[in-house]
Parts: sequence; C-alpha cells; structure tokens
Amino acid sequence: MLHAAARGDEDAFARLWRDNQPPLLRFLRVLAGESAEDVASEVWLEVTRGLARFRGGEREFRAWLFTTGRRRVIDAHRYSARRPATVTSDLADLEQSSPGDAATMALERITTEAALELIATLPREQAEIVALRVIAGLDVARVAQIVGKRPGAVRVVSHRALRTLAATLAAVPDQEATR
Amino acid sequence: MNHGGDLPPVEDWPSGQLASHRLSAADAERLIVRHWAHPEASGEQHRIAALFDSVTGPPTDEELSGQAVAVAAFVLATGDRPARSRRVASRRTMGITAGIVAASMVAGFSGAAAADDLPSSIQELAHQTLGAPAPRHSVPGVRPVHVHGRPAHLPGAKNGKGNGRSKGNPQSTGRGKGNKGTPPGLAKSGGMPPGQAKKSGATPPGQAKKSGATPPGQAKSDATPPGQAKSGGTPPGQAKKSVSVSPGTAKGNSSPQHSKLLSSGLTKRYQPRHAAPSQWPWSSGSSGKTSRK
Repeated sequence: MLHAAARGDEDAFARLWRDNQPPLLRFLRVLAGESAEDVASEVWLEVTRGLARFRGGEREFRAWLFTTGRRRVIDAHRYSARRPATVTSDLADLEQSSPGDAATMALERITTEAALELIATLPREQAEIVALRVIAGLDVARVAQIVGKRPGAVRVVSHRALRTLAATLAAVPDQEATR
Repeated sequence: MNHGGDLPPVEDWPSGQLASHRLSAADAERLIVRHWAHPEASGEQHRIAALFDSVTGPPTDEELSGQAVAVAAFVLATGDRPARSRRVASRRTMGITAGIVAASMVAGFSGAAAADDLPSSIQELAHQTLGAPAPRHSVPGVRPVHVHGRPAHLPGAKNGKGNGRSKGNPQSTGRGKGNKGTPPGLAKSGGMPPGQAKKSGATPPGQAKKSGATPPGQAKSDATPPGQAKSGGTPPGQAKKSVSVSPGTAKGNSSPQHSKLLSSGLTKRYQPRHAAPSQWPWSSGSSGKTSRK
C-alpha cells in the first residue's frame, strides 16, 4: 500500500490516509487544539510531496507522519508566539476547560473528544509523549527519537503522566459529590 | 516505598492520590500498550484504560470527511509526475537516438573514407584529417601520392591486407612482405592480379608457384628476378617489410636524393641477394650480396 501510494496510486493513498488520518488528527487535537485540522492538512501535503522519496515500512511511515505533525505544531506555536492573535470574540468561548470538567465529561460519556481534552490538560511534555505512545501507537524507542529524549526518560514521563491522569480521574467523584 | 517524612500515612490519603500512588511503572506500561488494567487494580486504572480505548477507537465520520480533499491534493501533487517522467524519458530517448545516429554517421563516414568510396574532395579531406587513404587518382597509371607518411590506398588492397609483399608504402614497387598496397605485378597471396604469384595451386603460364622457377616479373620465395626482391634484399623500386619506399627508392628513405642515389647504383644496400649481379642493370658487379640491416 505504501509503495503503491509512493508510485502515485490514488486508492493506495486513500487507504493510507484513512488508516493514519484519525490518529494524526487526535494527536494534533491534543497538541494544537482547534487548529488540528489545518495542521493535519499541511502535514499531508508535506507527506504527499515527500512520499515518492520515502523508504521504509508502515511503522516508519507512521513515525515520519507524526514527526512531521509535531514539527508543524511547533512551527505554529512559534508563529503564534511572534504574532499574538487579537481576541475579538467572547472570552468564554476561548477558555480552556479545566481538568475536572474534562474528566467529568470523560467519565460521563467517554467520548473521543472528551478523552483527548483530558489528555490535553496534562503538561505539554507529558501530553505529547502519551499521545505519541497511545494514539500513534509508537514504541518507546521511536517516541524517544521523535521528542529527543532517552527511552528511559520517555518511560518516566509516561509513568508520571498516567499517575496524573489517575489522580485526576480519581478526583472526579469527589467533585461530583461536592456539587 | 519511602516518600519522605512530609507525606501523611497511606491510610490517610484520598482515594485518588492512593490510586495514583499504586500505579506502578509496569501498570503504566501495560495501560499504554494494551489499554488493559488488572481486574484487581484500582478503579482509576480501569478508567485510564477506558480513556485510552476511547482515544484509539474507530474513526468517526467527521475525522474521515476530508478524504476526498486529501486525495485530490495528492492527485494534484503527484499527477504531473508521470508526465514529467515521460518528458524526461522522451528527452533521454531523443538524446540516445541522436547519439546513435551521430555514431552511425561517423562510423559510416569513416568506413567510406577507409574504403575510399567518398568523393575525391571529401576523401582528400578525410585523408588529411582522419588519416584515411588518399583518394584514388582518376588518371590511370598514376600512383597515389603518399602524404605525411601515411599509407595510401592502392587498387587491389583489401581490408588493409595487401596482396603483395610490400608493407607500409603504397607507392612501393618492391616485394617486401607487407599488407599494404602493393602494385600489380608483385603479390604474395590473396586477391592476386594477373602476373603475380600465388603460394600454391596451379600456376598459369607466366606466373610463379611457391617453389620452383620464377619467371621474370613474378614473385617467388627463392629466386628473385631482376627488379624484384626477396624477403631480405630489396632492389631499387621495391619495398621491404614495413618500409616506406617510393618508386625508385629504398628502405625507409623516400628522399629524392636517396632515390637518385639508388638509381645511379651508388649504394649496395638494396641490391638483391640471389640474383646474378650481371642481370642487374644498376649493379656494379662487384657484390652479389646485399647487406642487411
């Protein structure tokens, strides 16, 4: 499929896109929020341009895809840092949901969106590593390569992130009880 | 596990903190990889497993709604790739074809020049530039001119292997063993004009066989009539092996002075070895042997 897509096969590319777009989009929603779809489009354009030169299997392709997505997010953050957006709409719409709200939503109806929001409440490094490991399905070595850390450090951060998530989820009944 | 003296006893911890404390590295790895919590694990681990299940669940229609746009972008980005490849391939094919045609033309021209089939002016040009044989002279009986030491083509010479014994000099009238132009009347083997000897076979009248008497004006390996030379001696007007000799000149020296010297009989160097000195019109009669060098 990958080689056929690299040769220009539309059907193969469509299958490739269907397999990889959902996890990519979810990964980008954790890191980039609302602009995830725009970033995903840019990522696929870049992938399309470089697909003919790509060498490797499905795992390598997925690693390349998420590496590209991560770089795009970093670029977008740098761009937004240089040019801060002017807030013109209601501030309430732009407020981030608190971890408690996301956890509540995740527990009441564990939808994909709610779960992603809950992961997005983690510190950036933890969220990124959890998203790469869980959503992208990459192993420790590839994640370490992508984020530029040692595999042991990736394991430590993952463990810390899960403990944070567990603590957040455990606090939800108490919040519900206090209401 | 000691967390320090500041922490309260584990029994006093809230449930959430207790659950997170109990989450070991192995539990975390199992949750991440398999999205599975042990049945006896805390409820938080089961919630985390459910959370990870939801983020890796089947794609929604909304997530796949951009497929048509993505494929269209893919087609736009890669659609011209085959055309570009065709253009490149076409350009490459044209280049190869042009190269083959040019090589064929050069080879044909060279072949024609070597075969002396070109028009005389072009042949002359090829002769001067490429070293091709000089053009055949249109006037019968006039020998081609030897230019710049290059062997000229003579009638009867074929594929660079002459039928006479002269070698290297198209103007040679000698019998030296060679494969370049040999004038009629002097031959060794192959493509022999009338009046020349062949190595074996029937020998018509007036022609010589390999052994035996050789009539005058014909070649043979042993007896050499006046005016012809064997492998060693080369009389005036005949060439020796790989020597350029002009008419009336001898080995390796085609200067008019030397030719004149030879014709005047002032040198013994090119006198035939076996012929009777008395038969040599140029001989002084004092020596029947030819000094060889």
